[in-house]
Amino acid sequence: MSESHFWESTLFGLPIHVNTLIMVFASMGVLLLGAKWLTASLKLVPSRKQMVAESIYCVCRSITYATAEERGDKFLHYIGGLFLFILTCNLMGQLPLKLILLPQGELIAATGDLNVPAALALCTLVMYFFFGLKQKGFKYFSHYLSPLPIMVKGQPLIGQIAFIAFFWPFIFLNILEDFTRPGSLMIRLFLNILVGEILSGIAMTVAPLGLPIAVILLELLVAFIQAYVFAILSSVYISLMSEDHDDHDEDHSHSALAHHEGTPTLAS
Amino acid sequence: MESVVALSYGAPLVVGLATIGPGIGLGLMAAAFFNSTARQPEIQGKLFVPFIITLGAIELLGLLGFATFFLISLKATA
Repeated sequence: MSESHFWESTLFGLPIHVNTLIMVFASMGVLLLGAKWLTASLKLVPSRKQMVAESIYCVCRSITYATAEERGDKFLHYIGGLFLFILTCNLMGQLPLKLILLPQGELIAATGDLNVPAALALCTLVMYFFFGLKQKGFKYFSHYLSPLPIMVKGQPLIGQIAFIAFFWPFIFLNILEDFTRPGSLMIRLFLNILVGEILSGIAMTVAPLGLPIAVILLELLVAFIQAYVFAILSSVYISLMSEDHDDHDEDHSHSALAHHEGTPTLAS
Repeated sequence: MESVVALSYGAPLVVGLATIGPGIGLGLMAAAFFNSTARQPEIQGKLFVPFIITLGAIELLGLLGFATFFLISLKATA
C-alpha cells in the first residue's frame, strides 16, 4: 500500500508500522486478559464462565482433531493460539477504531498489514519443520524425493534409471512447496482482510447509512472463516509433515467415526 | 489523466471478470456439498473441513483480481 496508510517509524534502525504494532499488542492484551479472566477459577463442575472457556477450547481442538486426531494434541497449543490470535486481530479491525486519530495512517486490523500474516506463516513453516524433524529425525528430508522411492521400488535396474532420469525435477517441486505453502497462507489472510477494509471504505463513501452494516456483517463472517482456514491449513501441513506412514491404516476408520459422535465441530 | 479515466471505466469490468471464475467454482463446490449432504446427512461433519479449505482457495482467486486492480489504480493515481 502507499505510504499514507501506515504510521511509519524506526526502532533500533528497523522500519516499523506503529499502527499495526498498536493493534497487535491490543489483540495480545485482549487475548491474555481474556484467558486470565476466563480461567481464573476452574472447577470440576463448570460455572458459566468456564463453559465459555471450554467451548473455545473445544473449537480449537476440533481443528486439530479434524486433521490429525489424537496426534493433533501435540500441536494443539500452537494451532489454538494461532486461531484465537488471528480471530482477535480480524475482529478488532471491525471496531470503530478509525475514529481515533493518529499522526499518520489509521487503525485497521493487524492482519491487514502484510507483515503480520507473513510472520504467522513463517511461524507455521518453522513449526512444520520442527515437528517433521522431531517425529522422523533426518528421515524427514526424504520426503523431498517424494514420488521416486515408490516408483523405483520393485523395478528392474533400467526402469529405475529411467524413472530417476525423468522424475528428478520433482525434487524442485517439493522444495518449492515449502515456499508456496506459507506464501499462500499469507496472501490469503492478508488479501481477505485488506479487501474487507477497502470495501468498508468504499461502502462508507457510496451509501453511509445502510451499506456499511452489510459489509461489516460480511466481514465478521470473513474474519471467522479466514482464521479457521489459516488454522486448519497450518494444522494440515503440520500433520502431513509429522505423519507416520506405517501404523496409519488400521484404526483410522474407528477414530474417524468416534470423532463424529464425540467431539463437537463447527458444523454441528 | 487518461489512465485515471481508463481505470474508472475498467474498474467494474475488472472486478466483474475476476469474479466470474471463482463464482462458478464456488457454485459448483457448494452444489456438490449440498447434494452429498442431502444424500448422506451424516457426512456433513466430515466434508466441512475440506469445504472450508476449498472455499478459502477459491475465494482467494476472486480477491486477487480485486486487489490487483486496487494496487494498480493506487499506483496510477498517485
